[in-house]
Amino acid sequence: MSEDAAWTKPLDIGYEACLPKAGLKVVEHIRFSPDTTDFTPIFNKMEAAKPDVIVTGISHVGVQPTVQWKNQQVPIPMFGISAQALSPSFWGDTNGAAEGVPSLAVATPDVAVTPKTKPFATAFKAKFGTPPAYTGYTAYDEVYIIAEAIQRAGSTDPDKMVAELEKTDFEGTIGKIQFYGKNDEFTHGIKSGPGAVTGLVFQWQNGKQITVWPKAIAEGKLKFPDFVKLSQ
Amino acid sequence: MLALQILIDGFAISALYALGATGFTLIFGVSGVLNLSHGAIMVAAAVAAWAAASVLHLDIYTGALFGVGVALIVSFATYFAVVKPIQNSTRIPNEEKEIFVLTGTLLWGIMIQELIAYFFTNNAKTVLPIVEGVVDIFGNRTPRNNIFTALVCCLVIGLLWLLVNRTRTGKAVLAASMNPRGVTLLGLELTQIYIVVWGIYGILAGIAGVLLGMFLGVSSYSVGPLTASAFSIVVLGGLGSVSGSLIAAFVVGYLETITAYMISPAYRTIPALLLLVFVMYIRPQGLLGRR
Repeated sequence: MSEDAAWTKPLDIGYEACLPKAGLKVVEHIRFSPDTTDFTPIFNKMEAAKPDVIVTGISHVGVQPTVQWKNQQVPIPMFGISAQALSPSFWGDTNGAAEGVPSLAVATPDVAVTPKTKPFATAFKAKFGTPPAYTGYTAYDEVYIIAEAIQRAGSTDPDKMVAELEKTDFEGTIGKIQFYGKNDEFTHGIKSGPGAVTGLVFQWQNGKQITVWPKAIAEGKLKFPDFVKLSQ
Repeated sequence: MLALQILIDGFAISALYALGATGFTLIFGVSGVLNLSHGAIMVAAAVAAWAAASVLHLDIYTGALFGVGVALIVSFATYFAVVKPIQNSTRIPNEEKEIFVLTGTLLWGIMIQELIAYFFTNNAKTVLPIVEGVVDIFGNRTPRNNIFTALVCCLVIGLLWLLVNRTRTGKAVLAASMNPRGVTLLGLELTQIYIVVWGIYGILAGIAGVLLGMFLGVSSYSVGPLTASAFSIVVLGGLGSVSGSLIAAFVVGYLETITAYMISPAYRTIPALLLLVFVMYIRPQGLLGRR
């Protein structure tokens, strides 16, 4: 279930290619207008297709489908990208309907993805009153990466900076950051995987974003509200 | 099965539209004002009710009352700060006052919308439902709060009917909507009637806003669509006709629900707008309009 926006087009292509590889059959592909306010017809249609899980790609919307999912007690768990769920204010905005909603992030305030994560989140909260949103962690790391590249290059000449940026080996708040090379399939993308940046899966539980994956830093296990019927 | 689902889901949203549009049409009937800040007042009520619970940590009922109270205040502010100065102005020619009121309330609505977005972000906010849980109606899982919403809407509209038809104040309001000059000849102060009407309107819009916040949730983006839907319901029903607005609210509510279920949720509002254009062609005064 994705909102009809430019960013979900490649996402949905990825979902449709990867979900079957993970052993999941796609029974229905729903793209809805981002200005949808009433999700009742969409949830009813989905329920009729009897899926085990709703894989989401939502960002412009978030509060409304989440609250209606809870109020209507839609018995299907949600999983995937729910960008608004990354915001620390999501629990309050949904009056706690976020309970059981997972999403993907690079870091959360309470988990030491690296030794730098928690001190940064604490300092951020002390200064601004709320924990950082997802962009806070990456922006923080990026400033250091760029500053160090400039120092190493001794110049702000773009070509010299790029040469130094390619050599980046920096432990940030989101993991160990290195970039793929110029001729790689993912030119200059952040290296992902074990030992690099893995990202994490968290789930809203009792007002907190509890990390449930990867195991090394997990604080808890996936847990869904009572109205959600898990197939296994 | 699908028909029953449409019947149930459509009722709650229609009842909510009816409540929102009633106050809107009442003001037009009495003072000839089309209040384009309507959506903003509804959203202000819902966001206030949300903030009362989430920021001030008040309980659900106090929060809901707080929301309605804020709508009442904003409604009076709309009248005293925007509408009344234009109506009383000697520098604006009388025949241009309507367009000034339209523009003034539209801008006022945008100001409220931007203030909400500035202080509470554009993210949608939801009000905690007063009744939780779901009931099974012939195999359709229905949130209890939808039934509650529909009941409150019907009750409030019923009370409004009693107020207008059975009390002295209400009769004065009704008389003012029929013949303002006649009312002043009877020794009633039109300004006082206006204040009463804006008060009633504020309460109605506030209740509708808070209920909408519980039912679907609202954000500052909802301001435009809410004003537009009230506007089209009121025009469809006949400007100034309360019963026309009630019928139109159910026509629009069900037309939207049927479209969302049978065609696609993305086209939800389109058939109602086409109907509006069609009605304008064959019956410009609306379903039950007098003028």
